[in-house]
Amino acid sequence: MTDDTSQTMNRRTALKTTLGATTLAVAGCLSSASDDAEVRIGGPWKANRDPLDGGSQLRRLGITEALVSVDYDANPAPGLAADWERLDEQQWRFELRDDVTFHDGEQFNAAAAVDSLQRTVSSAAFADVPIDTVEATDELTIDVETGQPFSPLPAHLSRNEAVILSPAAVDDDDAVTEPISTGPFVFDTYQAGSELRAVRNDDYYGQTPEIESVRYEIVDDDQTRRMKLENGELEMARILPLEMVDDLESTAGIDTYTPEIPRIRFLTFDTQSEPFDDDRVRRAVNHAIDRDAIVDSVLAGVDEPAVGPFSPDISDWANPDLEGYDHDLEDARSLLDAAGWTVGDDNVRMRDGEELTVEFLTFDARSLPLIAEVIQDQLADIRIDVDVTTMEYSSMVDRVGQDSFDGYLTSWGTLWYPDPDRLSDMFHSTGAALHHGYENDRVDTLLEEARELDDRAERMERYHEVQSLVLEDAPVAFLTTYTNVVATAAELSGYEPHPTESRYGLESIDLDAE
Amino acid sequence: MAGVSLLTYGFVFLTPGDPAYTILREQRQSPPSERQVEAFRAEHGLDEPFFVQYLSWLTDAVRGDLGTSYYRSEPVTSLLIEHIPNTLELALAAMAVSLLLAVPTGVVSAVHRDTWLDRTSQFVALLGVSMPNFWLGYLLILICSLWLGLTPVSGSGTLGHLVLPAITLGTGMAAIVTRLVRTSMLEVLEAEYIDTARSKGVRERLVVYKHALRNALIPVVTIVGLQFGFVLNGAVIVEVVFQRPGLGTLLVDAIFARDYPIVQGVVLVTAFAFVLTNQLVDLAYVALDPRIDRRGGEQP
Repeated sequence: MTDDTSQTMNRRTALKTTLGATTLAVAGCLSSASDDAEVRIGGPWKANRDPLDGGSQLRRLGITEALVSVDYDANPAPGLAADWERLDEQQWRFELRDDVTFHDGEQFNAAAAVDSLQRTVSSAAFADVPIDTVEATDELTIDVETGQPFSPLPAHLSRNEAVILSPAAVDDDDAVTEPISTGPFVFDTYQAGSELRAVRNDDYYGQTPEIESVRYEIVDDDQTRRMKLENGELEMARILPLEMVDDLESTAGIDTYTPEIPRIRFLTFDTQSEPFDDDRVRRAVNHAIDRDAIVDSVLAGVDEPAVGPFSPDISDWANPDLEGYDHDLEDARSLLDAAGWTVGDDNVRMRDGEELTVEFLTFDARSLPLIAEVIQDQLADIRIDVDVTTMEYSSMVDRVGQDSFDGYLTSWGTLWYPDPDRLSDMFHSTGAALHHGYENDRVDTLLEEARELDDRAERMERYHEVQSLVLEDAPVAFLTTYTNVVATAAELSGYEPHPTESRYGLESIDLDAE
Repeated sequence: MAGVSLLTYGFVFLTPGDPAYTILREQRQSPPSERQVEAFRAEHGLDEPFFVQYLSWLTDAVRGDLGTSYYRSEPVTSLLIEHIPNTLELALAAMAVSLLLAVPTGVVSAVHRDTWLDRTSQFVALLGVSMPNFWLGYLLILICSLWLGLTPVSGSGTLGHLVLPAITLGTGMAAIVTRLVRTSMLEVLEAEYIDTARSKGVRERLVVYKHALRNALIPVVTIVGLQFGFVLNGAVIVEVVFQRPGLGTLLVDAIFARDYPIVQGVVLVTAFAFVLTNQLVDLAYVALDPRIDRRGGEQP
């Protein structure tokens, strides 16, 4: 009896102790607020240590730098190379800065840059950049020879894979575990799949950052990212969904940024199979889509209708004269009638006894499936019967790459390297990575010429014409522009969104003392 | 385990979606060109036929080398070693939460059968089973982190980071275990040896906790062992909501990226964990019931 009581007592005591300890431990965690001069950024993108594995986060955080940078008008600009010139059609000369040291104290010079660039040039990422040789001609000069006249070379050398690493950063197995470069922040720690931390580079040749360190956290879930920001666990939450914008703007203590980025949503047609082998049917669909309604209903009124691959607000490569297709159901109907698809007594649009039924594929991205449904609804008005199939992205790409299809909805970055040669990836009859099967000799010629030409005005003329032709031929239907939603704690100041997200510009950011 | 590996390799291989294209797009956040895709395939041996790829993976795996991630150029083994502790921690904490909740509730339910206590706990258990993990996770973050300011929203490393995910994952399991404990207890309480114990004048509390509960726990242990699979399964979602870098997030990302070596690695580790848990469950039987003896198995 006595035994039993004491045992019970013991158990209770033990339980109480455990509970007490847990409470203390939980309380202890609460006070683990982070250093004031550290900026914590949450985003869905993974971070890698080797720039050849993408390297976008290293670049954006300001750890790595390349010979060429991207300015706030989305054009190539001096980076580690102070200047460059095109010696002849295939020869380029880059003059390097003389005041740069790597994070490990090594001197930055042509020899080191050439080593690093050769690693990049031989990688899969640069498989279609026709670089033949990269050589150091003296301490601070690099000559690059291309296999053919290639005007977008500087733009490619601004890519995140083309950043310059210190010779010590690459080990004997050609692996990079510590990205030692030249930027305003120095790589500090890394945990695969969760975070990457960098500290201020006090010896930086440019503007030294105010903040002491930056921690990038991979937070996949949109809701979690936002709640962390609201709870003071992040100073910046990136790539939030559009539908959060209203809420965020009315939340005290949070600043919201909605910069447009060079990315568009569009519908790609299979121009090689019925019914979209007929450009009249493609144009009819273009007229029947009400882009304003899409923006208002699905995209929280934030994005804008797109008329071409580039937005004039971001880049002067955009053809300013493009008008786009107005929302005009009468035009749409008469185009379909002219193509032989007519509406019979039973209100079904048919040609030669066949109903006009199409399937639009899309993938499980934030807003594309909803946009597909809105389009389905809008095309019903001109009696086109649309089925929407939502797949996983890779499955969709497989499917449209192998078989004929009707149309697929996707979004593409149009200036991810800052040169309009990107249009070749979209519309060149043999070079395109889109599966529309579109062939227009004039477009091909213009794209090929513009790739070789040096003069910006001459290139622009050609790219503007390509944009007009593509709008007219409509191998794709341009739908909307694209906006990034970034929210920051109100005490974070000095943030300026970069159009191609090449950098977060952390060296100009400060945290105000409260 | 070899069977498991062949099956997964086959399934992953048959899944539509080209790893080269998918990974390049993910890395650069933009679709790659045909030539880049080909170069990537050649670099990673993805242009080889299925059996060549599988055999080369298998021969390395036997030597303890699980390959290199296509996506982040790091050895799979080191990625696994980095991620396993987080999931293990979460799994154990969730099991602890579920047992701490379920066993007392189950016993109380059984002892006070058909009273309001029983019905309430049954109802709560039903609620627990029906509530989706991610939803409960958001709810807990909203209440505990944003309103009450008690715990951090997400992350890992401290006990504070573990509390919400463990509760989220633990409650779903607790609900199932509660019902099981209740049923099992009811069955045992009907047994004759319980009547015997009572007639000897043993105190009711002792009857319940010592005589009945111990016997009732045997089927529970089996289920809890099997529930380990449920925990790993649930960890996939909970880890995403709470941003914990564990096996769940690793696996999901790898599947979407078609990062075969990682998928293989995680599946192998999981299969191994199952085998191990089953062994542990068998050992637990012996501890609970001396009649089950290691050599002879169960005896009447």
